[in-house]
Parts: sequence; structure tokens; C-alpha cells
Amino acid sequence: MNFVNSLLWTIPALPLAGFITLALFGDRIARRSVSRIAVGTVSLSALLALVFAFRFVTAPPEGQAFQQALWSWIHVGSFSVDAALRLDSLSMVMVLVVTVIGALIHLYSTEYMADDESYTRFFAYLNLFVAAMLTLVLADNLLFLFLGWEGVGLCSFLLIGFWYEDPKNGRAAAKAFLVTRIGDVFMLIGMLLLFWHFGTLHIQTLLGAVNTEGHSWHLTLAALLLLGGAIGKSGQVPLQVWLPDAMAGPTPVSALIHAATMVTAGVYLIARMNPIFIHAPGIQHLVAVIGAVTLLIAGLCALAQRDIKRVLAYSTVSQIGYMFLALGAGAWSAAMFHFFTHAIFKALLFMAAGAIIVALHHEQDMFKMGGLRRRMPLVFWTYLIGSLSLAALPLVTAGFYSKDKILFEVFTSEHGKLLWAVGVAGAFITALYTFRMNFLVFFGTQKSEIHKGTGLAMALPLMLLAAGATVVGFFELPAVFGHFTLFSSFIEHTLPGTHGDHASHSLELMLMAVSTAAVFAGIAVAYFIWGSAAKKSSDVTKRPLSRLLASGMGFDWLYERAIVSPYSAGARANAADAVNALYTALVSGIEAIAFSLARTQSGRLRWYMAAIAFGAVVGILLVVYA
Amino acid sequence: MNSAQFTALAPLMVLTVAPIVVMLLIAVRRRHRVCLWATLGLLALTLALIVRGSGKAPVAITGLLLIDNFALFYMALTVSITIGVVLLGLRYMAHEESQPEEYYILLLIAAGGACAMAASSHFASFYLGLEILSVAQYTLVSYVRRDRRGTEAGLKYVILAAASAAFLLFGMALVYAELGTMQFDALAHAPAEQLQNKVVLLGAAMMFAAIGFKLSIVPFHLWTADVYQGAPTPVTAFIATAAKAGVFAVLVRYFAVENSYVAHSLHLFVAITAAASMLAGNALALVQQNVKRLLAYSSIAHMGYLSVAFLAGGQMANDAVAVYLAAYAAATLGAFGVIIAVAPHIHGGEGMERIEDYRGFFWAQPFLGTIFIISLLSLMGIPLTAGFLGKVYVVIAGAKDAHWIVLGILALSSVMGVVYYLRLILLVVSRPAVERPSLVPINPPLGAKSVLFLASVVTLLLGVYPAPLLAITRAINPF
Repeated sequence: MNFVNSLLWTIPALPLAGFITLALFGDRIARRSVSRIAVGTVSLSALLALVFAFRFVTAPPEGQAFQQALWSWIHVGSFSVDAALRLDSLSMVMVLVVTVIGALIHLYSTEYMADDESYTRFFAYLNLFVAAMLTLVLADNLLFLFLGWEGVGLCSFLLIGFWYEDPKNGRAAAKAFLVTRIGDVFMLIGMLLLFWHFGTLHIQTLLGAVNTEGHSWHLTLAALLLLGGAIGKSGQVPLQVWLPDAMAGPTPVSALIHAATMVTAGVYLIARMNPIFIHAPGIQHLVAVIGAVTLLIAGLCALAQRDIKRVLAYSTVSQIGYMFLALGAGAWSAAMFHFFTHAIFKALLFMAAGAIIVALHHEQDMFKMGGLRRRMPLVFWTYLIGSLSLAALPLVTAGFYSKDKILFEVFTSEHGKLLWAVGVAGAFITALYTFRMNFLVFFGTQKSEIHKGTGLAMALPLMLLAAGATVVGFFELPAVFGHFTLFSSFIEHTLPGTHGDHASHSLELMLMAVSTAAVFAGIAVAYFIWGSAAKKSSDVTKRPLSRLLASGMGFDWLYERAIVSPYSAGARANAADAVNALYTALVSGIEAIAFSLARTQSGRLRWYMAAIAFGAVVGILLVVYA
Repeated sequence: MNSAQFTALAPLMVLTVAPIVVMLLIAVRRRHRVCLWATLGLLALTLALIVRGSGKAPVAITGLLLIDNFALFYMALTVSITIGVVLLGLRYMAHEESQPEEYYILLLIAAGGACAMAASSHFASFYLGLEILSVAQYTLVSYVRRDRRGTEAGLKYVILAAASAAFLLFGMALVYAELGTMQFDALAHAPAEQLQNKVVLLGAAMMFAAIGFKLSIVPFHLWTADVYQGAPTPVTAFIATAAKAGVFAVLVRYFAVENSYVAHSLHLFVAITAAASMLAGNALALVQQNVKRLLAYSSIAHMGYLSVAFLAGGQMANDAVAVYLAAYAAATLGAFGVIIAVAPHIHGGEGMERIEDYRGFFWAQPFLGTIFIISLLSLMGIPLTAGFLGKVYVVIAGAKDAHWIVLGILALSSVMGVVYYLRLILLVVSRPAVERPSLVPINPPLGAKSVLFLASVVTLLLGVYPAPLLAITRAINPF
């Protein structure tokens, strides 16, 4: 292993070092140095990641993965846990997204958070998040993967509740933490099940054993439990309720954690553990169904939101639904490709939305925006590019190529026709809510004053990502357009290949035409409803259907009625706490024992001597006669 | 004696000569600084010779001593802890006692005894090492002459330890009568037919009872709290850590041999005393209001955890004990070190012994408070500290032969441990209601500060990067 390869550990270590520096010495460092440390460490990681990507393509490593064993953490008997990193093509994609987009978002935040009192705390958390996320994707065994998994969960909690003076934000943070925790418990049990059955936590060994064992109930159960973890983290139905509320955090946080990286950890988990799902076909199908249901529900909810960030949040849920749909249909590389393009255009959309929010003094209601096209041209154009990519405008946007790949492969998979239809309906809805957003925000009459322009630190990431949202689509062209498969042939070093290659070109073209029609229909309908100034002011939240959608399909209401209220009622009924009596009894029991033991500590020598004699006699009896 | 034997024996020889050197220095001129530096220098020299000796090991010397990497590891641990205790106790001893110089002589003798024990392969050398250590400890415990509690504790310790030594001697005699040899190896590998008439087992049980006393395992533990509380705090730190290391060396080497009949017969005894120690130690600590007594009881519980490691036997016991003991020593030294550091400055030298004294400690003493918290977290066994790793090792060792009941008790009693450690930590970080004299800033001497810093660094480092220690445990495996 040469020198550059041995630097793999520095990719997660640099942001971690940044976090430690900021956490320990933050209050003694000037603001400018804070941003230099925070942005610098992540940028260096990004550079290193790019170097590794370059080497990966030019001189592929042995076994198609860079590996680095760092140290042995636990090694006793046959049980060992090593701290080791593994960078294969799947984690390469994740690492690139986390570090490069992470660096851009750090840069953007230096301006976005410039006036915040807790500037240092913000960047400390953000650096810690990047380090944890990189641990998650680079981990060679499930224990460290889980460490990263919980680490990003913690950072998400800390950053959603970043402005903790407002109790509302604290509640949103707690909600996110608790709901994802439900999933984490499933995941932990799944991991323990895998460990119990296969006796190892090392991912590659484990997956090898899975492939030799083939189908078994252990795998089905493990797949289901892991899916539970993935659903919680990635905000899929029925655990999607935390993500819209998570928008309480600062906008760069929404862009980084709740759009580009952390929420896709579930997708990564399923892709990483793909043999388990392949050997549990029922569960894999369930993944697709959950994805389809989620993309539809979340898309509809996005239609009725007034808050620009909540639209984007529901849109994220919906787009991750597409990724789950792809995973479930066995379109592994398509899922990762959509993750890749989505990370770019959704980060772009969030950051552009952030620019608007800052300019309008933290106004997030789209109905109070309007007409910003002329006043904020840069934001308008970049936002439009992101929107087109999200809506999957054919040929020129990245979103088109990734979404089209998913739809095509879902269609050609087994039982895929219905799922494909849901996906196309979703594409229509996506175009609809995306352009509702655009018309409301950028067209019509201006309703709010602009207080502040967009500086270079915010503009630069916007422009770079806007370029990315267009270009990266050409990394992967469908068979009818020259069949250029840079991305999928890269990712398929790690993930299983696809099955749809044998389908005819005419079928592919036809499917493409259908989804294209859906997209244009969506844009057109959006124009008719929200494009003309007159209807824009109409308050949609008065209508019952809109109210239902605006509240996220009533999931919160349902959970409130079905879980929280009965729970609170039970808690009230049990105010005296019958269960606690058990613990109180336990505590007083232990205390009684402790006090009677304490009486043995009388300080009297003869008593001490007697105890030793007693112990010796008992010992002799046990050893000699037992 | 050939040169290899000489190299191997050199650390013990230096440690034996060291008390005489310091004594002569005192005879020439009674100067605290001179004794201190001489002690530190000699201990450092011993440590260097131990490291040098590790290349030549194993060397057997006259059937009494076996100096191999295993013995050298425990010797190094003992000597390092002693250096730490010397540096931590410097100001404390000067403040407590007008003539602190002989303290160093006794400490060196005690360290020598513990090291001899670690290297012993024969009953005679083990007994001599143990008694050298014990006799030095009696005096150390009551070293501060004006402190009545110390005198009382010392006297209690003498009488009880003498009684337990009688058990040890009688047990050795019984084993000798039956096996005709005093080599530990013969006892450890005694074939089943020699154990027919149970005399050997009787002897082994009596020996084990005496060793249990030294390690303060329930029901031989009653002296612990009185002695820990009464002794000068640096001495307490020594008794809680260094004094145990040598005993553990012998235990691992000769009583944790796999497929040994003697070790097998002891299993039930070990399991029951381990469970009793974990439960009683933690329960007693739970209601304790005095910090030194609290740590005494918690050390009883830790000895219980360590005993669980023996149940596995073989290399697993070796690994688990070495890892746990290193983690425990670093954390205990850190915790006692903080108590030692504040003592000369508070309440006219009374020190801070009630746990209530520690309310708001962190805010007045950020450095000492941080060390204290890290040490307590490690003793609690929180992940990413050395204590957690130690506990993982112990649990895996216990799980090897499916000792589920013992492990259940370990888990339960650890929860009790969390309660009292956490209560102490909460007190340390809570804001004090009123200004109190205990909250004046304290600046310990540089030596003490470095030891505390190092103890915490070791505690944290072993928690995340234990590879060097694991490499050592593999290198010292005596089986």
C-alpha cells in the first residue's frame, strides 16, 4: 500500500479534528479562524476524496476496494472487532457527496450563519456530523457503521434544535430523535440477530456467509429489521413524520443532513446489505411498496404546504421514496444514481431557498414571497435549474436521467407495472408541486422587501451545484441515447448489475415518452393554477382536502390519537405509577440490603475476623466437597 | 549467575537496594526533595531495566523466580503506579507529616514485594513477596502519626492480614505435605489422582481464602473500607492498585490454567465470591457518603468483575485481567489523585471526604474536575473509555463457559455502579448554591498534574485505541 492509500483514515479524521478543535478551543478562536478550520478540514477531506476517486478510476485497487486496517479494538478469543475502513465504489459515491457537498455547504454557512451568536457551536456540530457520516459509510463492520449511524442521529438532533431558545425547535429535535430511534432499535436487533447467527460483525465476511447460506428465516427477519432502521432514518412511511418538522433547524443543516446525506443513510444501508435483501425477496418487494407509497403520499403533501422548506422536506421524502422503489425492484445502481443526483439538486434547492429566506428576513411562507425573479436573478436561475432537475425535465437535467433509469428498471422488473404507474404519477405530482413553488416564489407581484443581497460565499456553492445538477446526468445515459454507463459500471463493482438491458429500445423510448408527458402535464397544470396572479392569493388551507394534505396526510394526527393520547391518558391514569412501585420496591430492597451490609462494617475486629473464618470454611466446603 | 539471569534480575535488585539508598540519604541529611528525587530516579531505573529485560525473558532463577514477559508486565505496572503515587502524594505527605522521608522507603519496599510476587514461581518466594508488601503496608497505613484513624486502621490491618497469612501458610504446608514440592507449577498441573484424598484441594482453598483477603473479595473484604479511609490517601491509592497487581499475576499464571484440576475445583468458590463481591461492593457504595469509602467499596466490586475473568481460564483470562487491571489502575489513580490533590488545601488539610463537598467542584477546578469525571466514567464502564473495554473483555471471558448467572449479576450490579458514580458526577458538575471554601482554585504541583493528565489520556486512549495494550497482552501470554 503506498502513501496516498494509507491516508484513507484522514478523510473522516480531518473533520473530527476540526470538531475537537472547535469544541475545546472554540471560545478562544476568532470567527474568521473558526470558519477557516471548519471549511478547511472538510475541503481537505473533499480533495482527498477526489484524489481517491481519481485513483479508483485510473488504477483500480485490488478487490475493487481500498482497505485500511487501523487497529484492533476488541480481540478476545474468536471475537474481534477491528477499526478498519473500506472504500469501495458504493462508499466512494457516498464519500464524494458527503465531502464535496459538505464542503460547499460549510462555505455557504459561513455567510448564512454570519450573524449568529453560536457561530462556533454550529460549525463544531457540522464538522462532527461530517465525521460521523464518513464513519458510517467507510465502516468495515456493523459496529462502527452503527457508531456513525447514531453519531449522525445525534448531530441531527443537536442541529435541528440548534436555536433551542424556541421550545418549538426543541420539540422538533426531540421528535426527530425519538422517531428515528424507533427505527434504530429495529436495526440494532437486526444487527444482533445477524451477529448471533453468523458470529461476525465484519460486513464482507457476513455478506459472504449470507450468500453461501441462501434463503432462511433468519435472513428474512434480519432484512425486515434492517428495513425498520432504514425507514426511520430515511423518513419513509410510516416513520416519515419527523422530517418535515426537522426543518426547524438552520437551512444549511436541512440541505446537508436532511436532504443530501443523512436521510439517505437508509438507502445506503439497504444497498450495502443487498445480499440479505436479495435472499429475502418478500422483504425486498416490501421495500419497493414502501417506496411507492411514500413517494405518492409525500408528493401530495408537498402540494399543500405554504412553507417553502416544508415543500422541499416533503419532496425529499418523496424522492427517497423513488430510491426505495428502485432498491426494492433490484435496480441497485439506479437507486444510487438517483441518490447522487438528488443530493446535488436538493442541496442546491435548499441553499437557494436559504438565500431567499435570509433576503426576506426569515420569511418562509411562499404566499408572502412572489415576484423575486427580477430582484434575485442568480437565486432565480439556480433555483430554476434545481427545480427542473427535481421535476426531471427531459434531456438537460440530471434528475431526468436518474429518475428515468429508475422508472425503466422498475417497469422491466417482476410485478413492476403497477409500481411503475405509481412512479409516473409521482413524476406528475413532483412537477406539479415544484412549479407551484416556482410560480409562487418568483412570479407575480412582489410582497416582501428584500433586506440583504446574496454574497459570494453563498453564491459560489449555488453556481457550482447548478452546474452539477445539469452535468452529472450525462454520467449515465440510457441505452437509446448512446448507452453511456460511467456511473453504473463504476457502482456495479460493488452492487449487483441490472436486469433490464435486454429490453427493446422501443419500449424504453415509449416509457420515456410517458414520463416526459407526465412531467410536462405537471408543469402545465401548475402554470394554470398558480401561474396567473389572480389565484395566487387564494388561501388553499381552507379547503378540507388541502388541510389534510398540509398536515402531512394526518399522520401526526393519527399518531397523536392512536399513540400519544392513549399513552398520556394511561400515564395520567397511572399517576401513582403502579410500575414504579416495583422499582421503588427494588430500590428500597437494595437499600435495605445495603444498610444491613453497612452494619457489617462495624469497625469491630472480632467481627471482621469471624467473617474471614466463615468465608474460609465456606470456601473449603465448596472446593473440597462440592 | 550468568549474564541473562543478571539482566532479568536487575530490576528486582535495584528495587531491593533502593530502600537502603534512600535510608542512607536520610541518615546523611533529612531532605524531602532529595528523597523524592532519589526514589523517582531509582523507580525510573527499575522501569528501564524491566523494559531492557523483556528481550532476554524468560529466565528461571533458582526455582524461586520466573522472570518472563508476563512477570515483567505486572512489575512494570506496579512500578509505574508507584511512580504515579509518589508524584501525586508529594504535597500531601509534606503537609500531613513533618517527617515524610521514610514514606518513600516504605513505598519502595512495598513495590519490591509486589514485584517479587509477580515473578514468583515458588510458594516461598510468593509468601516472602506478599509479606514484604504487607509489612510495608501496615506501616504506610499508619504513617501519619497524629491521625488516630490511620493508627487504628494500621493495627486492624496487621491483625487481620496476619490471620490471613496463617491461612496461606497452612494451605501451603498442606499442599507440600501431599505433593512434596512447593513449586506453583506442580500445584497448577497436579493430576487428578493426586487430588483423590482432597488434602491438596483443602490447601488450595485455604491459599485462595488468603489471596481473597489481599484482593478484598467478599467475605474477606471487611477491612477494606476502614483501611482505605484511615490510610493517607496516596497510600490508599497504592493499596487499591499496585498492591493488587502482583497478586493477580500469580492468580492468572497458576490458578487460571485451562484443564487444571485445581483451578477447576476452585471454580464454584470463585464464581460465588465474585458474585458476592459485585453485589455487596456496589450495594455498599450506593449508600456511602464518604468518597474514600465509596471508592473502597467500588474497588471491591471491581475485584469481583476481575474474578469473573478467571472463570474463563487460559489466554482469555490473561487478556481480560491485563486489560481490566490496566484500565482500573489508570482510572483509580486518576480518581484518588484528585482527592489527594485537593486535600492539603481544604478545611485546613482535612481534605474533601464527604461526597457533598464535591458539589460544583468542576466549576471551581476545571482541570481536576475533568480528570475526576473521566476517571469515574471509566470506572462506570462508559463506552470509549478504558473501563468499557475492560468490561467487554470480562464479559466475553465470562461468556466463554456460559456463566450466565454470574454475568447477569455483573450486569445488574453494574447498574448499581452507574447510580453512585453518576450521582457523584452530577454533584461535581452542578452549580454550587453558595460560595464555599472548598471551591478556591487549586494548583497542584507539575508532577501531580502530569500524572493526572497521563492517567486520563491513558483512560481515553485505551478506550478508542487499545491496540498497543492488546499487542502487549498477546506478548505476555504465559500459557
